[in-house]
Amino acid sequence: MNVEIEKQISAYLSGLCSEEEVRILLAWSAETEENATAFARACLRDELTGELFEEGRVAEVRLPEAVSNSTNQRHFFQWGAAIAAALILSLIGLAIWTQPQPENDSSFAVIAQSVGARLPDGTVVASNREVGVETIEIAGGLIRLDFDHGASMTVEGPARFELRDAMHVYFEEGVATFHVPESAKGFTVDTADAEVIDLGTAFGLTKRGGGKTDVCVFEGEVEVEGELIRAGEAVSARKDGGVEESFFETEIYEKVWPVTSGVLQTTGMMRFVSPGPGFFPGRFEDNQHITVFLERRQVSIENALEVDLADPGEYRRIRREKGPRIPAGSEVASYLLQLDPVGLLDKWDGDKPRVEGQITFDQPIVGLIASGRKLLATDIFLGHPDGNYGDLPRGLEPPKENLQQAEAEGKDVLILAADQRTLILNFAAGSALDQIRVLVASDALPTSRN
Amino acid sequence: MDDTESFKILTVEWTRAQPAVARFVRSFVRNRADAEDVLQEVALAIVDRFESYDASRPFIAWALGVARNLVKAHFRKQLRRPITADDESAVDRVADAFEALQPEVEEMKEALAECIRRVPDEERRMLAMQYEEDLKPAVIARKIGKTANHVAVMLHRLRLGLRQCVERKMNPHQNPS
Repeated sequence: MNVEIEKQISAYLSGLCSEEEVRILLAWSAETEENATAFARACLRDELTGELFEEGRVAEVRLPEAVSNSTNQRHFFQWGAAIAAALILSLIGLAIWTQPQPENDSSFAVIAQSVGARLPDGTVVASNREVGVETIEIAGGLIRLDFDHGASMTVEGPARFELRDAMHVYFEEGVATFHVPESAKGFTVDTADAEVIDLGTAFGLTKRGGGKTDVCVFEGEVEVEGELIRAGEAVSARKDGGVEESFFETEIYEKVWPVTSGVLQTTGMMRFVSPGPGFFPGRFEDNQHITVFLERRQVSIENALEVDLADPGEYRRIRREKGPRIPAGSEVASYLLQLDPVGLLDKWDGDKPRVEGQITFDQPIVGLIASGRKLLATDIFLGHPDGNYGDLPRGLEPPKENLQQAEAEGKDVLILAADQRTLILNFAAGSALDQIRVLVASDALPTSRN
Repeated sequence: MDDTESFKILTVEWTRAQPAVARFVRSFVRNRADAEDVLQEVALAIVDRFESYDASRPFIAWALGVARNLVKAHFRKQLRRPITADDESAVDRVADAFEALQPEVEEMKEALAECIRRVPDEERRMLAMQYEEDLKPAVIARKIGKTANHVAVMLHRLRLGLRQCVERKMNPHQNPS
């Protein structure tokens, strides 16, 4: 059995496969008797593992109270199976036995982040609260909800919405962005004006009264009132059922989109840019801001990857010796931070603009790539799939002949904070383009030293 | 054979076959409540159709035959797409595989018990949360302060390790794949 299939079966057993992934897995199982047997064995081991824990034969680990008290659905199932057996026995005149039914855990999402969010009565919205079927109203600030099936939704107040079930939100008012992976395809957002069905994508939605709902698709596709809307397209849906094309404008989502994208906070002159079609770095020339792009959400590192930096500290130049390595098998998200001044400034112009900013990610930074050579080598698998990175010099390393001078001037300063999540940048826009690729853990695997 | 005798045989056979049928149903119907419903339907169908059971065939094969039809019926009701020939073929082939694996289930379970006992405490705690508490990776992640993806990766590695361990124990002279 190959590694990918084994991974897929494991995802299936953990309940993480989309309907399409299940279809592919079943088609594979149907191909040969050998495949079917491998699938059956994996399922059987899974069931037997559950039975062993249920029978108390392997659970010698003392679980924390919160875990021990949670719902035991397997037990519930066995009770159900017992009922099935009892049903037969009842037909031949034997007694039926019953057991109390445990309560169901009804939460399906968690408020993973609350950034200055407050309720209408002024109460601060706490993060890490599990939520289920309920109506949530915030007067201001931002909250991010992470659903158990992998989707996330970031809402900017004032906003009011109802979580109807794990796959269905009724959005009354506010601005929100959504990221919906394959495992949650079909996630539906209803408003008074439209039904928006996600087909595996990222999109923004604005409902501000006035009888219309604006939808802006950043990645993938969504269905709005039965019409397919693709990445880079935007529509307004009216209450009377009409859907009309509108301008693709992402500015309104610039506060919520970073949170959906794994960025906790940006301060100073750091600007997180919403994704859009035809992405290319040169499009975002800006003397005032270090712009941040999400390039890829989840990349599996196939071979150990050498990066320039991984340890907390203050850096004034990129050393050319061997850097730390991210181990093979790690999962990372990739972000590009860049300062791209308007036009081409003279490299050694004394009047260079300086830009400072700070960005905090919601997961640890496992590596930074800041040398031109490594940026170029990693564009293919860490860069934005539609990105055109051009051929301008891009890295942070100063020319060899001016190394000491550059260090003395503090030309570009980069600090990776001790929390391993915060990056502080002070860039001089003297060269045409400064870029850093930031790799953030998707699965919190550690970075090893070479 | 009178009805009382017939029902006695049914009771004995179903008691023996029920665990295997339940494991098969749960392999395809991943939602526990739905699986419970399907298993109840299987039990009722077996009672209804018991007269047609040919006692010269193994009861487990017949029961799995009933179960596979009801799993397919469940697919037709629940899937948002039409059921395909591959879906049906997969259910049939996996049902056959379950039947073929029956003789080794007890040995597999004992081997698995030994292997799980060797898993370090922290990982075993994760297994317990998945299998005993039936928690989803995202919920486990929240409880242990990791990402859902980290938990999914860990569970995959644990399953892989358990498979290899069980294969070594059951086939000590073969290299695990």
